[in-house]
Amino acid sequence: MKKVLFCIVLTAALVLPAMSLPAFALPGEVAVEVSTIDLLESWQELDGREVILRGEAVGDVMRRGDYAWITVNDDSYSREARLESGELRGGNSGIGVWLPTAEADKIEVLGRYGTAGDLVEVRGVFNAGCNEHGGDFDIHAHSLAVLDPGRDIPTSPDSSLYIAAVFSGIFLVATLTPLLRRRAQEMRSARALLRKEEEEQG
Amino acid sequence: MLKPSRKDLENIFRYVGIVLIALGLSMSLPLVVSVVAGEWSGALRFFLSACITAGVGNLLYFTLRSRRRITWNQGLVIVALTWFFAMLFAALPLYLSGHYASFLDACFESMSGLTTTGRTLVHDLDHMAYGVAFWRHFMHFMGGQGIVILVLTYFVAGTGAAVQMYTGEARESIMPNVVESSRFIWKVSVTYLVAGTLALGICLLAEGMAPVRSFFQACCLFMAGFDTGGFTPQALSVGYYHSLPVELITLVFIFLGMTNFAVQYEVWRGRPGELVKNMELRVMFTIMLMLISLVLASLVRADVFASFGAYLRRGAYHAISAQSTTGFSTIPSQHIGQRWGDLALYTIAMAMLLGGCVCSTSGGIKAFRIGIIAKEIRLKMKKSLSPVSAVVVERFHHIRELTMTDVMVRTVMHITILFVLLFLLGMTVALLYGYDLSTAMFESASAGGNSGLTTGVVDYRMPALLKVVIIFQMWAGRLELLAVVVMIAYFLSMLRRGRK
Repeated sequence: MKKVLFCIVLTAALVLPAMSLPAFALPGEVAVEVSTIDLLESWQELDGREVILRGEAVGDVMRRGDYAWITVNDDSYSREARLESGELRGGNSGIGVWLPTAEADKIEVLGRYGTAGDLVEVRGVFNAGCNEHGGDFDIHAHSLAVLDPGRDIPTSPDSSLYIAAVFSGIFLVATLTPLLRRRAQEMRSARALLRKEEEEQG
Repeated sequence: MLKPSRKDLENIFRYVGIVLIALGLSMSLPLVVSVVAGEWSGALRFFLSACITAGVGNLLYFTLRSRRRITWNQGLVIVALTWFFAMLFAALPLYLSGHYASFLDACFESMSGLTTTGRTLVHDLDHMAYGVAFWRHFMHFMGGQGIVILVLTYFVAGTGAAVQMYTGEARESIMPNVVESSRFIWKVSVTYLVAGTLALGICLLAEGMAPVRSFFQACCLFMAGFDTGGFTPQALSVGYYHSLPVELITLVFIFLGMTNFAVQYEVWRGRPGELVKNMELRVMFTIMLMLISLVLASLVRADVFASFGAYLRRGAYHAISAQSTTGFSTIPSQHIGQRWGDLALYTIAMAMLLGGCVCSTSGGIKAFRIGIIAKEIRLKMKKSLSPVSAVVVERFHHIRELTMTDVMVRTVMHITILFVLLFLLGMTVALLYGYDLSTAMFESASAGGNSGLTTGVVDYRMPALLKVVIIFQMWAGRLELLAVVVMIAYFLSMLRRGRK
């Protein structure tokens, strides 16, 4: 019994002070799974904490020496590409992630027009106003894992687009007809005038 | 008041037709970008939109045969209508791109682009095709310099309509001839575009971006920065680049865009002294310093950052971005409302209302008018302290030495009052929809001042009526209200019975 009580008291003595500690990333601290919306809305609680963010790597990998910047989007389009689903579900949410270049190099496909980028998981410290980067809103990640590799998304035009383009071309030519007619008329009258002058001279 | 006849309307819509032809032709540029990028769907969509736009323009131009001389009020109606129709047709490729939930949203975007506002209802921006991204930014470039100015330069040169349309598009004449003035504006802008794209492209390259994307994004950012627009190719705005040099270079573009073209013309002519003597520039920089100080004070009070460098970098950038009515951001814009404190929020709203210089690409009331109002107050104080018989005048330097007149003050007051009314309209509608006062004020100032900053309210779920009101605010704000007010009065007069 004494041993059990001793264990409870010891556990409480270790856990309670830890609970009252400020929320800084400590070695071994349990990382919180977050979305960028959580980071935007609960920045006060999450600032300086170790977080896990999953999303699509989009845009560019901007290498700056041993480290690099990437952007991770976790909006609805990161889960299902707009071009594939054909649905608009809103959102353009993402965050800049600063990580070692070796980790960034794991990314093979970046999300852009015609591609769904690699689905990645980054782990690192969230900064609502980063000291190192002049007050940036970012995550300093120490690791990145590719959960699902990116892929190409077909963007070739469908037949209805070709038909619509042909009809609009015909419409443009048809509306230009008065101009072409007027030009032809002007040319004809200019030629007639020239012929008349030549006849008078000749 | 005369009631417009059918011939008058034909006259007006004939000019609208010319602008639509020019707009249709301008779509060939994003079409080329789409072809180069191998975006065939995009290319077809631009071809389709260009054909429809130019086709409707042709119909209006060739079927309406009236060749009457344009009157002053008709010139203003043409300008206002032109911008409205440009919004409708510029929205076509946006809507067809699939990034917008409705045609109204695409119209919102095109009006925002053309009026260099920079507010967006786009979905999935980070997966946007190069062609559509270029078109969004190119709308800033066309609208910033003035769509009608473009047409004046190449289509209606030498006609009597030029002066009316030039002034209707909120421009003061740089040279005696308005066509020469508009050509100068375009020449300067294209020169800056080349230099700016090169400078920023090299910077982005050095910051780790791939070559083609560097120069493409540099070109887009230049158009948005110089034209004090605010669209960016990526969803995180300028914050996407995480780069101080990029922020500094965009600030240079913004300064060029918010500075009066007449002052820039003087500098180009070898008279740099104008930069120091000009009353409007002095007022603009004084206001800028005050705004930056207030934002910094608010940030320090809210204890947002850890270093002075961060305060200056974020605070000054957003204050200048707001005053120039650009709307570039380097932090999530929701944080202005949530983290930066009320003082920063209201200061930034005020900055968006005040704006840059007249005859620049920025919106808002403008520094020249603020200067005139301040001088009028000083004049009244001087008069009250002088003998009754004394003649007290206010002089100032704006390109040349000028004496302030009652007409000048009246004109300034009219426009300022209209701006305040426009601001109140937007704010009231936002309040009616249940937004809180600070949000309603901020969003209304942003729309009327043609800035792009938002506290997060602007998205596709906004009520349709609020979208329409913001479209109206952007349109009226860009044309400094006069053209839109005259257009409304013009069409209302058609409903009257009586003399034609």
